[in-house]
Amino acid sequence: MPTDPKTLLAKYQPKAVKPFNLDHQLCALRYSPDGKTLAAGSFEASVRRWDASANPFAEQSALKGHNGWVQRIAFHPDGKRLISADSWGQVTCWPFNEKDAKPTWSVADAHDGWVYSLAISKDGKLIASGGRDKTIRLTNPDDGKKLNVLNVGEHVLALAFHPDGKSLVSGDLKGTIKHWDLATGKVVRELDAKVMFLRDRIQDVGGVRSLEFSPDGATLFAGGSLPKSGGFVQGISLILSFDWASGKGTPFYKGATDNEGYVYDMAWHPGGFLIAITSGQPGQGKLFFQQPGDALPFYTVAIPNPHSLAVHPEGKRLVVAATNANSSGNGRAVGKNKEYPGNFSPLHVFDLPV
Amino acid sequence: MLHSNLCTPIDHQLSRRQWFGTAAGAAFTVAAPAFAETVKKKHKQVLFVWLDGGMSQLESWDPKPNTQFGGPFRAIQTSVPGIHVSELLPKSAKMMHHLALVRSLCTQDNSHSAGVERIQRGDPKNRGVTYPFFGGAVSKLLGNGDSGLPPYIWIKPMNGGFIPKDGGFLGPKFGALALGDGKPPENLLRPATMSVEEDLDRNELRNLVDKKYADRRRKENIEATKYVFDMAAQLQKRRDLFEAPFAAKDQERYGTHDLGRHMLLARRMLEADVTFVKVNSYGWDTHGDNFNGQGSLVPQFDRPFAAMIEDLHERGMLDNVLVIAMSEFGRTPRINGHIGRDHWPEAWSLVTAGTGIQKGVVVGKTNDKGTFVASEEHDIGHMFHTWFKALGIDAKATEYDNEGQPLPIAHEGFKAVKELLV
Repeated sequence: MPTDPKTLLAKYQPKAVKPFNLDHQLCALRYSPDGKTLAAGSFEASVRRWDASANPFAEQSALKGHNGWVQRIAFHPDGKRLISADSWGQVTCWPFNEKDAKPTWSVADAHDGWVYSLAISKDGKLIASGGRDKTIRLTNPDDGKKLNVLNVGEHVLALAFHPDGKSLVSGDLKGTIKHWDLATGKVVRELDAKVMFLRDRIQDVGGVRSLEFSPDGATLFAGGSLPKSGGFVQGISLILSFDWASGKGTPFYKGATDNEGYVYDMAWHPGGFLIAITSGQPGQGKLFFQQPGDALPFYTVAIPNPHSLAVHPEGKRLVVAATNANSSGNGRAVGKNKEYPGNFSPLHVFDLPV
Repeated sequence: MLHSNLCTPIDHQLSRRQWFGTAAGAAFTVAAPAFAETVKKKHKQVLFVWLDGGMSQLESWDPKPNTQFGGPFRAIQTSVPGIHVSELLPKSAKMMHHLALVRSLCTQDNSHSAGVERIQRGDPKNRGVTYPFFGGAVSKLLGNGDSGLPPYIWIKPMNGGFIPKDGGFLGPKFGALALGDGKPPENLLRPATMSVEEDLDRNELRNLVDKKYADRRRKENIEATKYVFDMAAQLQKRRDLFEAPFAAKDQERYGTHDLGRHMLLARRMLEADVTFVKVNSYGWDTHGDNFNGQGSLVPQFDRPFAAMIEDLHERGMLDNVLVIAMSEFGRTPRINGHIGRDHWPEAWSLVTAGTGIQKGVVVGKTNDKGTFVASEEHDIGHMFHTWFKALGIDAKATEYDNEGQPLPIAHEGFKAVKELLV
C-alpha cells in the first residue's frame, strides 16, 4: 500500500550537509556494502576512495592502473572487492580495503574500447560489463576469466541483474532493453524503450542510460530521456517503469523541459522509493525521490549537473557527484596565472532520517 | 533609364527568378590573367567538406589520451609511423600517407554566425566589401573547365537552390548551386511528359520574357541570371549525374547515411570535372554529451572520407584535386557540466590532401593537454594562401580588380605554410 507523499517527505526529508569540492571531475560514485567506504571513478584514469565513516570524508590513496575514464564501478556483495571498468576496455578487481591496494586481477581487453556499463549479480557470482563494442562480457569475479560473451548489436549503455539471479537486462543506445536468460545466454524477450532514442541528422542520440530493479524484482526502471535534438543535445528526462511479469512499460517520471537532459543514475532506497538524478544543459539538474505508483516525486531539489549518486546501504546518507556551476563557456577563459583550469566535482551530501 | 538593382516583388513571381534571385553584381577582373592559362593546362579542382558546428579536434585529428582533458577515447596508429589520430577515425588512419594534418589552427571567432563566414571567406582584412566564399573565389580563379557544368556545386542536406551570396563582391555568378539532399534543383530536369520540342518552345518564351526583363536591369545581373540558366541547361543534359545508380559496393563503402550518399555524389561531380564541390554535414556542435555525440558523428565522417581519398588516389585524381575537411572552430578542452565541449578557436585542427599538398605530414602542434598551440599559430589566412598556392595560384601576385579597387585574394598579413606544400 503506497504511503502518502506528505508522510514520506516528513519521514525522509533530506538535510543537506556542506558539499566538498574535489579537484577533478568524477563519473561514478558508490558506497561499499558496509557503508564505510565511498568510491568514485574519475575522468582521469583512477578510482578515488574515501573513508566515509569519517566526518568529513577522509580521502585514501587513489587506485591507479586504468586508462581514459573510469566510468563504472561496482562493489562486490562480499564487501571485500571493488570492480572498476574504463573507457579503454579494461575491467579490474581491487581489494579496496587495503591501504596500497593492487589489482587482484585485471583484464586489459575485456572490451574493445569504452565500457559503458557494469553490474554484479546479487549472489556475487557474475560480473557483467557492457561496451561500445556492442557486447556484454560475463566474468568470473574470482579470477577475471571470461565466462561468456553476449552479442547485443548496439552500444550497451546500462545493465542490471534481476534479484533472482536468473536474468540480466541490458539497455542500449537505440532504446531496446533485452532480457537475457543467464542459463542459456539467450534473449528471451525485448522491452520497448525506443522513445529514448532519436536519430537527428546523422547523429544517434539518447539511449537507455540507467537501469534499476525494485528489490522484489517486480519492477524494472529504465532511465534516459525523450531526446529532442542532437548536437547541443536536448531532451526531457524520462524514467519508464516496466512490470517484470508482463513486460509492459509506462512512464514513471517525466521532466518538465528539454533542458533537463538524461536520467543519469538511479538507486533504490530501503524505505521503498527510487532516488534519481537528471542532468542536462549546463547548470540544469535535479535530485528527486519518487515512490512507485505516484505520478510525481515527493521530494525534488535542484543541483547543477549531477552525474552519479551513492546511497548508504542503511539509507541514512546520500552523496551526489556533480560538475561545478558555471562550467561552460566558449573561447578562452584562463585563470589568474593564465593557466587553463578544468572543471571539478562538488560532492553534495545529504543526511536522511533513518 | 536603368531601373534600380533592387528587385521588386513582381520580379519574383516567376518561380525560376525566385530561385535564382538577384544581387548587386560588380564588374570584376583578375589582375593577373596569365596564371589562368597555366592552371588550365591541368584543370585543378577542390573538394571542400564542411562539418558545421565544430568537430572536436580531441576526438579526431589531435587526440590527447590519458590527460586531464583527453576524454575517454584512445589514440590509434596510422599508416604513417609516429602519427596518431583518435580511435574514431580507423579508416582515415589507414589513409594517413595521403593526408596532411594541421594541428595549429588559431582563429579569431568563437561564434557560428560570424565564424562560418569568416572562415569560408578566408577572414580577409575589412575593406568594406564582402569577399567571396572559397568556392566562389576558386570558381572564378580556376573557371569551370571543359565540363560545362557549374563550377561551384554545394551538396547539402535539406534545401537546395542558387546561393548568390557565396560570390561576394564577385557577383552572383560565382555563387553556389546547392543540391538539396543531393537532388537536382526542382523542375530542372525536363519532365518525362514533356517533349524536346515543347521544351524548346517554352525556352523561347522564357527568352522573350528575359529580354524585356533585361531592358530594365543592370547588365551584370542579367549576365548572372543568364549564366545560371545556361548552367541549368548543362545540368539538364547530365541527367546521368543524378539518375545513374551507384555501385552497391560503393554505397556500402561510403555508407547510406546522408554524408555518405552526399560524398559519393561529390565524387561523381569531381569525376565530371566540376571545379569546386562542397559537401556539408550539420549537427557537430556538441555542447552536450560530446563524447557520445562525436562518438556517433566522427565515424560517419571517417567512412566516406577515407573511401573518397582511396578512390581519388586510385583514379589519379589526387594529383589534381585539393581536398579539405574542416569546421569553423574546434571544441574546448574543458568538459562542461553537460559532459560536452564548447567552442574553441584557440587550438584546433583540419585535414587537407591532394594537389600541391605534402603527404603523410603533421604541421603544427598543441601542448601536452591540447589547450593551446605550442608551435607557430596558423590562422585561416595562412590556409587560404597555402591552398591557392597548391592550386597553382600565387596569392601574393594575384589580385581582384573590384571596379578599379585592387583587392588581395587572401589576407595579405599571412603567407603560405611551406611545410604543407610540395
